[in-house]
Parts: sequence; C-alpha cells; structure tokens
Amino acid sequence: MRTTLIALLITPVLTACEPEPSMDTGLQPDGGCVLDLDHFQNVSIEPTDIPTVFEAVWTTTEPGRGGVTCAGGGGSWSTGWDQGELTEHRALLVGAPAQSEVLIRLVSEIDGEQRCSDHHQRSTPAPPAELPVLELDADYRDAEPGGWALVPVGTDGATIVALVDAHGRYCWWLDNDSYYFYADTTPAGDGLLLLDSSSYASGSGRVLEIGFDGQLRREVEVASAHNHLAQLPDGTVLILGREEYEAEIAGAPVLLHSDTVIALAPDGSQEQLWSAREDLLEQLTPMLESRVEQGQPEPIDWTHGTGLSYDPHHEQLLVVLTGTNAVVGLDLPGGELAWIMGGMAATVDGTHGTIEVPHSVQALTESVLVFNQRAHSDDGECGEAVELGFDRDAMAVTEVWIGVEPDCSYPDVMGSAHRTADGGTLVAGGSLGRLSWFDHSGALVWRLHGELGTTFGGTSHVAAFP
Amino acid sequence: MSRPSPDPRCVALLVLALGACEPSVGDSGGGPVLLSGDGGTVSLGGALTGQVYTADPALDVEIAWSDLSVDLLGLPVAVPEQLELWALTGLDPDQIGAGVLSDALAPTDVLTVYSCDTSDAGCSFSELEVFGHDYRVQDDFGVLDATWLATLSGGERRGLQALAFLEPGEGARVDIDDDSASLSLEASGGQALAVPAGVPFTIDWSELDTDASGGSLAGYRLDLLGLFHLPVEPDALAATLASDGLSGARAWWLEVPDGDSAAIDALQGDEPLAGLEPDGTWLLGLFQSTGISPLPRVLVQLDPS
Repeated sequence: MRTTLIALLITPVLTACEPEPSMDTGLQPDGGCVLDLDHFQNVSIEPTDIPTVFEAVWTTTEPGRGGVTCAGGGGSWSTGWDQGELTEHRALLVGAPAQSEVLIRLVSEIDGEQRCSDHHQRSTPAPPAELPVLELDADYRDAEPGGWALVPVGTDGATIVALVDAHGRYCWWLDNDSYYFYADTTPAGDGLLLLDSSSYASGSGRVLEIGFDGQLRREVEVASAHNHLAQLPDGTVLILGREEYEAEIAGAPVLLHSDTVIALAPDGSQEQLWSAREDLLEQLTPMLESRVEQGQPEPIDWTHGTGLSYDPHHEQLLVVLTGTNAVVGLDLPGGELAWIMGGMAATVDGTHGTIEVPHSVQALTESVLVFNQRAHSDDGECGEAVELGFDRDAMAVTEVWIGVEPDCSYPDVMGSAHRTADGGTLVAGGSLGRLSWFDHSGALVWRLHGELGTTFGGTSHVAAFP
Repeated sequence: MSRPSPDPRCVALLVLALGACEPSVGDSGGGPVLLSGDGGTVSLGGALTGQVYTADPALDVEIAWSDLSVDLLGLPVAVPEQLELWALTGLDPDQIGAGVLSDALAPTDVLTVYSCDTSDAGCSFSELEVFGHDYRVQDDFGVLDATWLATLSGGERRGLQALAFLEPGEGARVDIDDDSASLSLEASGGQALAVPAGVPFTIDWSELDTDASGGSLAGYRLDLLGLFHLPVEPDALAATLASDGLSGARAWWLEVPDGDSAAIDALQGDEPLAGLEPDGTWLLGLFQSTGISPLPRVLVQLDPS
C-alpha cells in the first residue's frame, strides 16, 4: 500500500554543513516529498573509511532519479540526483559534521514528483584528537559562508587534510601522518588530489587521488616533488618540484635550491616543464650575491615556491616564488615564461610593493588573487589577500580588492587566499591559526581560530558534493 | 601566592582546603563514579618560569636533555620524543610561562614552530623542521623579533615535560635539565570524592563541563588520565605537595582517545592497580594531551572508603 504523507521539514533553517541545494539538481535538503516506504528497497547505509561519510545503496520499485537528503548538527544538505532513470542507486553522503546525529532520507524523482523514504539515523564519531579544536570568533560572525573549507590543518608534527564547515566543525579528514600543503578536488568533485610531501627530505613526493570515501584511487611517486599541484583539463597534474645544484655566485660555488614544474601525464609519464634555474637564475644573481654576502647558509632556497594555479582563460600556469617575491606566468602547454609579477625581474608594471612575500595565487578571469604574507617586508607587516586586475595588453596590474585582518597580523608560515564561487574570499591564515572570510567589500565577516599550534595550509572551497 | 623551592624541581602544590572537607558521595553504588564540576574539582593556578640559555645563531646548536630526570610536575620523566622550538611574539618569558601554564597562548602569539621528533636525547638546529620541510632555524633565530621557547613533550605521556628559553648569544649547546624550569602551583577548593575502596571501579567524566579554572570543556577532549598516590594522610597533603610536589607519588596513566569514562584498573603504572586502598591520598588528573599546559585540566581528590 502506498502511503502518502507530507514529509516533515527536517530543519526549518539551513545553517550548518552546506545549506544550499545540491549542485544544479533542484534536490532540496529539506524539500517536501511524498513518503513512500514501499518504493525504497534493499537499503544499506554504512560508514566508509572516512567515518563521517556514508555510502547509501538502495533499489526502487520503479525507475527514477535518486538522491539523498541529510540533516544533522543543526543543518541540512543533499547529494545530487542520479544522472538517469534508475532502479539501482548509490550515493556517497559527504558533509556530515563530526560527533553528530544524522538523519538520512532517500528520495526518488519520478515524473516530476518526489517520493522519499523514512528517516535513517546514523551517528558520526569525534574527530581525531590531533585535529585542533576550532572556535568561531565572536567578533566576526556577521556572515556564514556556505559549503566547506578544504584545508590541510597543521597540528603536532603532521598536517591533516580536512573539510571544515561554517561552525568550525570537521566534516571530513584524512589522518595518515603525512604532510600536505594543499588539496584540490578532482574534476568530478568526488574526491581529492593531494601531494604527500612526507618524503620531501628524501627527495620525492606522492601524488594521491583519494575518494571522499577514503579509497585510494591513484598513487604516483614523483621525484623531486615539492609542495603544490594543479590540474589541467586533460588530466595532467602539474607539480611544483625542486632541484638542487651548484652555481657560481659572487665568484664562488654555492649550493642552491630552486623550483621546477613537473608535468605528470594521465599515462603516468613525467617531464620537467619549467625550471626557475633556467629562466631566472641569471637575472636574479644580484639577489643571490646579496644573500651570500649576508652569510645565508647553504643550500640557499632562493625561489621557495609555495603555490600553483592553472588559468584556463589564458591557458597559463601561475607559479608563486616566495623567495623572489614574485608570481610568474608560464604559457601552456610548453611552459615558456610569459611574465613576472613582483621582485627584481618584474615584467609586469604596478607589482612593486603589491606583491610582498606571496604565498598563494589564484587565477581569476581577468585578475589574480594573491596572498601576501608580508612577513619581514619593508612595507609593513599586515598579511593580506589582494586581487590585482591584470591588463595583459599593457602588462600592468592595479589593485581592485584587498582583504586585511583588522589587527594587521601576518603569518610567518604559509597563508593562502581563495576566491569562492559566490564572490567571497576565504583566507587561511597559516601559522596564525585562523580561517577567515572576507566579503565583496573586503570586510572580515567570519573567522575561526584554532588552538595553539594550529597552522592552516593552502585552502580552497567545496560548495557542494555530487 | 606561595613560591617554595622544592627538590629536585621547584614544584609546589599549595592545596587549600584539599582533603579538609567531608567527602562528597560519588555515584558508585555498583555504577561508575561520576565527576562533576560543581565544586568537586580542585582549582589550579600558579607560575611557570624557565631559564634563558644563549645559543649562537651561526652554529648548528645542539639542544640536549640527557640530564633531565623529572618532569614539570616532579614525576619521573617519560622520555620526551619531541622537541619544539617556538618563536613567540610580543611576550616575555614570564608571560609565556603563564600562558603555557593556563594553556592561554594563542596561534597569533606564535610566529613559527620548529619541531624535531627523535628517540635520542637531543636535536640540533639542523634537525628541526616545519611540517617536514627544510625551513632553517638559522633563518629565523636572531632574525625574528621573538622570544624563543624550547619545549619537550611526548613519550608515554604526550604532555609537556620540560621547557627552557633560548636567546641569540654564545654557545653551541643547550642542556635542558631538572633546573631548566620551575613550576609553582597553587591549588584550591575541591571536595574529596568518595570511591569504593579496594575494588575496581569506573570513572565517568561525561558530565564534567568545566575545567580546573572554570573554563568550558566544550569541544575539548580529556584524553589522558593520571592517578597519583601520595603516602601521606589527606591532612598532610598540602604540606607534602608544597615541599615535594608529586615527586614522591606513585603514578598510573591511561590514554583515553575515545569516550569519557575509564575503568580504574586499566591505568598503567609500575605496579598493577586493582583498586584504591584507603591509605595515603589519591589524586586523579584528567589531562588534555593536545594542550601545552603540563597541568591536568581537571584534578580531583579521591577518598576510597
């Protein structure tokens, strides 16, 4: 017998883990649907290797598009719909906060009508003790960003990649005693691409692709990998690498480190796409001579690369070279040096003083977003996220947006900025242990802070899960 | 605030009224003994100071702790496995000591933290790293406008065991020993909690919502239990702690990564613990091992009867 009841609203106010409708499907986290208990058969909802993530598998008596809504921890969210009319369904439920009770409801869309199952209750465990407690800053909670911050959280001797919701709750974590400086979502949005730097000291790294269910899908060792990666549409992964060599500086041989870009093709082949040594060493030798004269111990890490960003609008790769105070643009696919913002060898006007100890870059349509650590700079010591409008014809930039912490602090380690799809800017404050959200005007409207020792790596943002 | 100088380390626990009250009755009638923050726990405060050592920024300075035998509480040291070197900004050593003791240091106080994981009793500057990468202490030490704090932690217990301050100067070696830091602790209030004598029982702190300083425990995990037995009667506890700290105590420990209860006979020490005998004085400390403070977040006197 088909039971028709109007479903109760699970949560009237959408506030926590991903309050928005899922993707562009129209599947509402708490939308009305007709309760149809008989329609949903063979239901299995089990935790995955990531204990806040559940895999739901079920069949339906009639074909339709399936999806799942979830509520828990004061918020609600949903998956996307199946891509076709099916009777066998599978969904991965990502986004539940740790230590919460989650109500899960299966939904079918058949002929424009939504039918739903009864609630299935599941609980999530506490996050690992190694993850620092995060607290909302009482002075900065004017807005509540949607989605999740994706960020490596530095703790006691390791970094744990985590998804953090607007309440500072951990919704996903990868705790495998490694070092990650940045994580990127896969093109399908169903997992993460990571560079494990835990073997950095021995001269290699591992590119890992891990599903949100915790399953390792791909693992490739990359010699001389450094700390960052970017993905190209064809599946190539570009990795910030490092090379060590000796060069004559101030009339004497000096051991140097500098960055490279390594291209990891989908077939697993690797090649060096670019080298700072080849393109920048000669013109920046005066800078190195100065460092040698100051007695900087060898090896001198003179480029200290800290970030990559693929620019699909101009088919370029942007590379942050903190050690040279610069962001460089490389033409793809060949890796030719196209321009330099900042530093002694700048080829772009207007970048002197606007790029100071940069630690991240994000290519936007006609601008770039840079996080300037500004540590030890002569121009003040306020870490900042700054958007620079980039006129490529004039080869000049102008500052169009800036977000600065009101207390003018700066991190000594890491720090990054990420412009989200809704126009907000998420700033990970590195060793300041802050995660901040700036609005369109540059005002700080939301901030989390962690316990002593908390360091946030390069951040990005996940608006919804497939 | 009393600042006695006990031996071997300046650990003074001045317990006011501790042991002087009639014991409260724990819910131990066959069930777990429940801890609550309603006046039952001891309030903690005090002062932590550290010696300042000089080190030459141009050298690969060795920081060693082979002569360290007792931790900040006066207990035998648990072989530290991690040295951390903190560059702290805007704070002098006294302020940092206070911040460490009360776990009040914030990430914004920290410019950077270098760490070294080792089973040896020392680390050199060149072995210190930041998240596995080769940041160099020499690039910051003597360059940053910072106060440098060296902390030792890890081992069987994860908490802080010793500390010292470094400043640029002369010297290629810093030896952290029992005299490198001085902890003077003031404890007040609290009510002895009645527990069954001579038999195992379970301690449950699920209803405990405030720490020893009255701060909220929401979101924090008390994940390390320490049980201490001092061979003195409760009336003599304050004087004993003031003169010797916990240095004369037998100690049992248990890591509790999940949950908020533990069977007392699961704690590990030099001798098995089947139950608490009604002699001497028993103290139970609940620690937050991820915090920097060497003190328990919660301290309770137990009264086996």
